[in-house]
Amino acid sequence: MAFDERDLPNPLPRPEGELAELERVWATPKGWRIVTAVNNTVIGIFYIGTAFFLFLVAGLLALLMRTQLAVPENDFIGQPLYNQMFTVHGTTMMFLFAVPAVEALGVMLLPQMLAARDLPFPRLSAFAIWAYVIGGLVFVSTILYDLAPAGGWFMYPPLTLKEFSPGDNADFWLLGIGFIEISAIAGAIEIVVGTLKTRPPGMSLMRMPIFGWAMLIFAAMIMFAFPAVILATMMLEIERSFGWPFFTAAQGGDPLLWQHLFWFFGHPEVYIIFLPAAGLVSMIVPAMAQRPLIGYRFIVVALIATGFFSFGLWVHHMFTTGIPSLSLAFFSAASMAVAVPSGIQVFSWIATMAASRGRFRITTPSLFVLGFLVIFTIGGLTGVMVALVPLDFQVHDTYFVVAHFHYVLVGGMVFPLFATFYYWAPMVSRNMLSERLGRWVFWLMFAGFNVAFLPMHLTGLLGMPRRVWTYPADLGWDPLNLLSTVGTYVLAAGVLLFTIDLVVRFRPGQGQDNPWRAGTLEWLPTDLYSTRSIPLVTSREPLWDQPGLARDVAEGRYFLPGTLTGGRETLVTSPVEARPQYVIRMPGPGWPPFLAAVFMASFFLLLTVKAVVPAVACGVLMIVFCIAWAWSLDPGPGREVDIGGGIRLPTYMSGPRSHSWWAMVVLMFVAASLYLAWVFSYLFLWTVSPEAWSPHGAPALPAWRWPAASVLLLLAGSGLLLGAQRGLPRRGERAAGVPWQMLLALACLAAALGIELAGHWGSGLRPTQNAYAASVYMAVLLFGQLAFALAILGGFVIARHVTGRLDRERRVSFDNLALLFHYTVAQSLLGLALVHGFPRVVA
Amino acid sequence: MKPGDAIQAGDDRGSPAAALAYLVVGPLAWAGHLLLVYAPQAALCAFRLTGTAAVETSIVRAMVIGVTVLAASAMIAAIAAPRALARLLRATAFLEGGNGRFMIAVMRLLAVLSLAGVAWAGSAALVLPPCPVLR
Repeated sequence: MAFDERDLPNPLPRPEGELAELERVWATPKGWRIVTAVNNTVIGIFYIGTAFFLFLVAGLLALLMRTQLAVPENDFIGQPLYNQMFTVHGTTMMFLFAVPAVEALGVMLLPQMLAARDLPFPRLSAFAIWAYVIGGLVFVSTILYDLAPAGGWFMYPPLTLKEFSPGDNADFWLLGIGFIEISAIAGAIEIVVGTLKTRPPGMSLMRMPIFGWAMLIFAAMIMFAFPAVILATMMLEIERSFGWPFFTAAQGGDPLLWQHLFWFFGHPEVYIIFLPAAGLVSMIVPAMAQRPLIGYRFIVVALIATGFFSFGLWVHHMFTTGIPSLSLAFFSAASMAVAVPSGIQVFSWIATMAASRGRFRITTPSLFVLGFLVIFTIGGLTGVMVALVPLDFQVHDTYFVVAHFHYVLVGGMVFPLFATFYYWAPMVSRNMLSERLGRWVFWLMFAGFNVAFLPMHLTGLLGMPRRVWTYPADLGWDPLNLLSTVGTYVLAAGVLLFTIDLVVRFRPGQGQDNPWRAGTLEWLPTDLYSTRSIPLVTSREPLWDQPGLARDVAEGRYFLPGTLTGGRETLVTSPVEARPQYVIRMPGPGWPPFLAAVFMASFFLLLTVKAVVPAVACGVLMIVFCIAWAWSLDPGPGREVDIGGGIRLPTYMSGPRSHSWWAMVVLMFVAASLYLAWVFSYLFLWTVSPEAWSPHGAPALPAWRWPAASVLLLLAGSGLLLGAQRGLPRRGERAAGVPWQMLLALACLAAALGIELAGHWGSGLRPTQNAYAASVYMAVLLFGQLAFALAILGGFVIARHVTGRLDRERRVSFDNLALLFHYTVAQSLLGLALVHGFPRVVA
Repeated sequence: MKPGDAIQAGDDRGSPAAALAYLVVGPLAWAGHLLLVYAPQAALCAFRLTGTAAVETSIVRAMVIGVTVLAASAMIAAIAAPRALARLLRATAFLEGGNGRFMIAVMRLLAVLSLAGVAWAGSAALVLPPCPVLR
C-alpha cells in the first residue's frame, strides 16, 4: 500500500531545532556515567559483550577439559577441579551465556525492528543487565578460588545436599543462579510488554517480524518455566541452610522432586534458547534470498507449538528413574511431536532459499545459517532417537547424550548467534566485520565442531559415561577422544579468529545503511533516538514494499518526529492491531537502576558466604534505590499531543491500556507459576510419602477457626482496598480515609499471614520434622514473600498519596498495588484450601 | 490515500485475551489432555488404589481413552467450525478484515498439530500396561 507523499502524517520542512532537541533528549551519558545509560543500543552492547565474554570463559574451560580427556589416565586436571569445571561450563553456557545472549539481542534488536524509540521500561532493562553482569562475573570467578559448585549444571540432590556437598560451593550456584533468573524474568517482562505494546502503527500481529514472534514466545516461556527452578533452588537452599527436608528420602522427601522441577524448567530452556535463534534465522534467510519468507504462518504456528509442546517433555530426562511405562509413553510422544514444528521451520527456510532461484547470497551470515541447518538437523534427529525410551535406556548419561545436546545447542543457538553477529553488526558499528575472515571463522568452527562432537556419538555408544575426569586405556575410546580434543582446538581457533576480528573492526556508532538490502525496519536510518519518526507499516517487509520509506522516516514525515513532551517518549499501540493508543513518557539515564542492581547482587552474594548483616544492609539499600527509581515514574496526566496525521493522543494512561498494568499482569503470571510449582511439589511429596502427612505422620491440623480467620481477614483486606479505590480523590484533592484503608488492608494481610503461621506452630508442627511440614511452611513462606513485597509497595503508594501524587487519574502505582494485592489474596485462599483441606480429605 | 485512512487510534476491535485464547485453543487442549492423563495415572499407580492390576489397567485405559476422545473432539470441532469457536470466545471481531484469514489459519494449524500430539500420547494406553516400569 503506498501513500501519496503529500499526505504523509507530518509535513516538510520540519521545525528548526526539532532534530537537535531529539538528539539532546536521547544523548548517552559520557565517561564513567555510561553505567547510568538506559538506551537499548548502549546497554544492549554491554549485555551481549558480557554474554560473549562468559561464552569465552566457559569455552576455555571446555578446552581444558578436552585436554584432560585427550589421552587415557591423564593427570593434567584432578577430579575435584574437573567436577567444578564441567559444572561451571554447563551452568555458564546455559544460564549466563545462552539465555542472556538471546535476551540481549531482544533488548538490542526489538526496538529497532519495531521502530520504537526504546522498550517500554528502559530502567528495568538496565537493572536486569547490571544485575546479570555483576552476578555472572562473580559466579564464574568462583572457579579461580575453589568455590565453584561441583554437582553438575543440574545440581541433583542428594549429591548437592549439605551432607555430600559441604562448604559454600553449591550455595553459589543456588543463590547466584537464583538471582540471575530474577534478572531474566525482568527482561522477559520488558520483552512481552514491548512486543505487544510498542509496535509501530499498522504492524498488526500478522505483520510482526518473525523475530518479534520468537521473542514474545521466548519471554512467555521464561514466565512459566523459570519459576519452577526458582522454587527448586529456594527449596534446596532452605534444606541446605535450615534443614527443611524436601529432598531427603528418610524424612519423606524425594530427590526426584528436584528433577521434576528442574526439568520442567530445563527442557523448555532448550527451546527458550533455540526459538530466538530460529527467529534470527527467519530474518536473515529472506534478506539473503531477497524474497519474503515462505510459510510465514507456518513458522508462527511452529513457534507457538514448540513453546507449548516444550512444556510436555520434561520427563524424558527422567526415563531411567523408574516411572511407569505409560507415563513414559506420554512424554516420549510429546518429545517426538515437538520435532514436527522444528521440521516445519527447517523446510520453510530451505524453501525460501530454493525459491530465490539462485539469488541466495553466500555471505558469512548465510554460511553460519547453512551450518546451523546441518548441525541442528543432526541434533534434532538424535533428539528423536533419545525420545525413544528403549534407546534412551541404553545411552542415558553417556557421551551420546553429550554429542546430541551439543548438536542441538551449538547448532541451534551458537551458529545462529554468529550469523547474527555478522549480519547485525553493521546496524550498530561503523564497520562491518570482515567477510574474508568470516569465512575462515565459519569453516574452522564448522569443521572443528563436527570433528569434536560427531565422534562422541560413537564414544557414547561404546559406553563412555559423562562427567568422568579420566578413563582407562584400551576400551576403544582413546582415538575417538583424541579426535574430539583436536576438533575442539580447531573450533576454538575459529572463535579466536572471530574475537580478533571483533576487536579490530567493531566500533559502536552510526551504523551502515542497509548493507544486506533487507526489508525490515531495523535497517531504517537510526541514531540514539532510534528512528527519526515512527513509520506506518503496511506489510511484513516495509522497506521492500513501501518505496521511499527510509527517506520519509529519516526526514521526520511519519509519526512523532520530535519530542512532544520535552523528554524521552515512544508510541504505545494496541496489542493485536497496533492502533496508536498513547505516548509513553520514558525515564532517561539515572543511577538508581545501576545501584539497585549492585546492591541486589551484593545481597545475594553476601548471603551466600553467610555474611548476614552486610547482606541485609545491601538488601535495604537495594529497596531504597528501587523506591528512588520508581518515585520518578507515574508522572500523571499531561496534555494531549498531535503525533501527525491528525492523530491526537494522551501522554498518560492508567488501567488495562497502560503498559504498567500489562507488566504487573505478566508478573502475576510469574508468581502464579511459582505457586503452582509449589502445589505440584506438595501433591508430589504426598504421593511419595503419604504416611508423613497429617494427622498420621505429623500433628493434627489447626482447628478450622484458624484458616477461617485468615480467610476472613484476606477478604476484608481486598474489600478495604476496593473501598480505597472508590475513594481516590479528584486531582489536587486529598482523601483522608484512603491511606488508612490501605494501611488496614495491609494489616489484614499481615494478620492473616501471622494467624496461618501461629496456627501451624501452635499445633506443634515444625518445618524440619518431615517433608510434609516443610511443604506447609513453604506455603507460608511464599505467602510471606508476597506480603513483604506488598508492604513495601503499599508504603510507597501511601507516601505518594500523602505527597499529593495519587488521585483518581494519577493512579498507576495504586493500580499495581491493587492488582498484586488481589492476586495475593486469591493465591492465599487456594493455599489455605489445599493445606487445610487436602490432608483432611485424604485422611 | 492518506495514512489516517489506514490507521485508527484507539483499542483493538475485541479483547486481546480472546484473540490469544482463540489462537492457542489447540495447544491449550493438548496441555489439558497431558495433565488429565498423566496426573491421575501417576497417582493411581503410586497408590495401587484398587489393589488389582487388571482393574487398574481397565480404569487407567478407560480414563486415558476417554480424555483423549474428549480433547480430540474439541480440536476437531475447532478445526471444522472456526467461526463458531470465535463466537464462543467472543473473538469474532478479529476475524473481520485482513487479520481474519491469518487468525483462522494459525488456529487451525495449531489445532492439527495438537491433535496429532494428543492422538500420539493417548494411543499409548492401547498397547502399554499402565503401571509397571519397563525395566
